[in-house]
Parts: sequence; structure tokens; C-alpha cells
Amino acid sequence: MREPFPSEEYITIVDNKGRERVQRVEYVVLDVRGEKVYVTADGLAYTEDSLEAKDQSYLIEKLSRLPDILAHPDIVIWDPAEAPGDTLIYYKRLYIAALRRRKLVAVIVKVRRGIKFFYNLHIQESGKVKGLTVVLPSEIEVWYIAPQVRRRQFGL
Amino acid sequence: MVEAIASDPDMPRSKTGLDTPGYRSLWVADLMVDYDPRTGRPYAFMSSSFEKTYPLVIWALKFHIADELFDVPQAGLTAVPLHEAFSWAYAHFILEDQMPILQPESPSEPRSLTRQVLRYAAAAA
Repeated sequence: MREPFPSEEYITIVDNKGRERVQRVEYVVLDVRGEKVYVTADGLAYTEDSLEAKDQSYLIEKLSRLPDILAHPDIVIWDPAEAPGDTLIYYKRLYIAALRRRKLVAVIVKVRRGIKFFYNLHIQESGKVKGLTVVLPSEIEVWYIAPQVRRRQFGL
Repeated sequence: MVEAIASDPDMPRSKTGLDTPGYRSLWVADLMVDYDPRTGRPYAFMSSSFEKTYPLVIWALKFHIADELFDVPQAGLTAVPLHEAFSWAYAHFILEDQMPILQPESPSEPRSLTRQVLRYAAAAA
């Protein structure tokens, strides 16, 4: 994790409707493959608002673990509900002190015009990556899996 | 992406926060739901490509979660099913209120926001 270089303080991302949006970069993280992921003020603000509204404020402090989740995920898949190459989902089990248990946390990273940026963080049902009720496990494209992790731990 | 959270104003917020099972996929690819452990009812809904999958998401909500009514204060809607709330979200956030002002279809037939938004979206596609 590092501060953005002066040339990276603002990035232009493309939203779902193809429009360009300028966003301020809070920090830059290298993910498990050493690729840059930009964490923007807008992405963090949305996620905090969302967690607050869902009465899951205990997860807000886990935003500080973003560099760790992105650099050391259990498994990363391409979102099967999105166009190929559009969205990566990084999964990692984290201990939530407030609940005294581990939860599967999903970090959403969008890839637009070659720029990867943090989009959202939420709890995912344990043991299942997104989309398993809709597509066959063999159709889920795994981008990365940690050496100690087995695919069946995530329903694959 | 559209994320909607339903809350019951009569239910106090948990001191430690809600220990929910987490988002799980439903039977359409782009709709995930999380459940309130106190009621066992869905309370958080996420559609990541709502601008593209709106008809499918609406279909899923209409057939699987149609037995509960919600107020949407931001939209001035009261006691509407979830698919109507999502149709308002589509008209407001995706179509950015470019849809013509909605009028009752007939005095005897209550206005269906979903029907009008689907019709508009199909015509604009």
C-alpha cells in the first residue's frame, strides 16, 4: 500500500453507462499478482454508507484490511454476472471480533480500460462464491486461488 | 450497481451489528440477497449490472419476493412490492428521470410502475 504518485492522485474511470468519471485516489494497493488497484475516496465512502445502512458497521474497520485482502486472498474469481474481464471478486475469511466468528468477505474490483479500482466490500454467504445457483461450478473462472485453499471450500 | 436495504423503523438497531449470513445468489445471475437474522426475511438486495439486467431482476423479485410491502420515502411510495421499488430505482438512477411523468392508466386500474418502466425500457432499447 502506498500513497498515489502525483500523476495518480486522480483517475478517470468509466461507469456502467460508459461515462467517464474523475475520482480522487486515497491509496494504491498491489494485489496478489502485483497489479495496481486504486482505492478511491468515492469507493470507500460508498462502502461505508452501505455497511452503515445494513447495520454492519463492524465491517467498516475491515476496510483497513483492504491491502491484505487484495494481496493475500483465499480465492479470486471473475464475476459470472458481468461481462468477461469486467469485475474481479477477491474473497478472504476474516475474524470479526464484534461477532466472535469468521466471515467470508468479498471485495469487488472493477477493471475498466485497464485500470483496476476498488468498488465495494460486503459479506458473502460462507462456502459459496457468487453465481453458483445460476451457473455450473465449472463455468466460474478462477483468477487466483491460494495454495492452501481447495476449490470445494468455495463450492467449486 | 444498485443496492437496496430495507429496514423496519420499529426494530431497534443491534448493539453489535447484524450477524447476517451474507449475500447469496438467487436464481438469476445478477441478484443477491442477504437476510435479517432477527426476522429471517430478506433485507439487503444487490444487483451489480442493474442497467442491463433490470427485466430479469424484476421478474425474480416479482415471483420470489412479492409477499411483503415496502415504503420508499425518497420516491414518495408507500406499501409497494419490491419490484415496484426497484422499478422506481431504475427510472430514477438508470434512466435518470428521463421517463415521461407517470399517469394512472385508468381510474379503475392502479398504476403499475413496473409495467410502465418495462414498456419504456423496451421501447428505448
